[in-house]
Amino acid sequence: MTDTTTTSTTTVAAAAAGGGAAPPPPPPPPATSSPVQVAEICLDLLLAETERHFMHRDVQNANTSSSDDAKHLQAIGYRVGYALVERCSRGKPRPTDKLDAVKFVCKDFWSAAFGKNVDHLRTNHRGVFVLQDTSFRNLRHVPQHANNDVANERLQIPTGMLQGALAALGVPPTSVEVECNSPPDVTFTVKIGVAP
Amino acid sequence: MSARGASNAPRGSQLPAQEKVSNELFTLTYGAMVRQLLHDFETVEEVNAELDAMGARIGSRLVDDFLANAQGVRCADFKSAADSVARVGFRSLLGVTARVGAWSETSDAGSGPSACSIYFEENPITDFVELPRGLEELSYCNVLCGVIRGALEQIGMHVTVVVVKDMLKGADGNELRLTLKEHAAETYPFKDDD
Repeated sequence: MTDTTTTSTTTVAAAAAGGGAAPPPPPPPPATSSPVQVAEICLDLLLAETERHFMHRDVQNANTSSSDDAKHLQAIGYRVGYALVERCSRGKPRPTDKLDAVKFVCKDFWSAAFGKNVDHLRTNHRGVFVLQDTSFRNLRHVPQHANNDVANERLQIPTGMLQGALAALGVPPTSVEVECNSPPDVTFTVKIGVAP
Repeated sequence: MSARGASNAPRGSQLPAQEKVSNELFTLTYGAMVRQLLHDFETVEEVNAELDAMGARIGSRLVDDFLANAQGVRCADFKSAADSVARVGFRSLLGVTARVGAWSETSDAGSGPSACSIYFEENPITDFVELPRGLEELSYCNVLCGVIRGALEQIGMHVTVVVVKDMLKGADGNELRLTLKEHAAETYPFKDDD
């Protein structure tokens, strides 16, 4: 019993010494996989409640239009997207151009934020990118023939997240438009560095 | 059989694996929402009240899902309900462990204790959070109070929940105090011919 413990300790120590002598010390445990996970329904309900709060308050108050409310939701999304990119891009090379940044968003960011990768990415190589997700997580509870407003409401925060993510990667978009004809299939059109 | 994905498992046959999301995304979303509330409301008290109200609406919807998924959870009286919230709810929904304690003295025979505390050290909504100066009054975790209150209200228990200890404010742990106000017993059998 004691023998095994000693040997294993020495091997660990030797490995640690070897690692320290050669290149940089071994990286800390990956920061992206947080040990604590919450049930998805908590996030769903939080998002639903946030949308309810910011979209449907002050109905009697005439000077808040629905586009103002959408802006509030986008502002929330922007902060989430910005901070999330900072976390999931840690230790990875910084994207060098627009396309690189958008690709990063389609893979790493999308899976951190929406649980999967973007299904299709198209670009005209002049700053217009079309991202299609055929089963967007935030719309999975929206019925296929729902009123367009319902899906639209649920897409305000993700739109903001996409803006924030790209801004954090150094390529703030000039516009992000979202289109959803049959949930949960959704298409984001991102314009970077071109007139909206 | 055992390799079958949770999504294919027939609903209700056994405890299905809950879909999980990373805590980072959840924390950041909550934090951004609180910031927007602070921006919108004039006083911190209003924000605290709104967080509690939002929590209550979340709780009232969460309880259905919770009871449907977590089989064998007992919520017949306040004691078992509080126990389920702490030991099953916190673990399965927030992924952290919590415990119950500090039961109040039983007031009269048969009714059981009417107050208790829920303790937890790890709080998934306060990761990366630090209260800036000037916001000492903000009760960042008020949403949890609301959720518990809203959830128990759906099963006929009117409780008040307050934050007693908050690690964001330098305490050595988090403590929520639950006090039962009224337990509206369900009446059986329901009259069909009304």
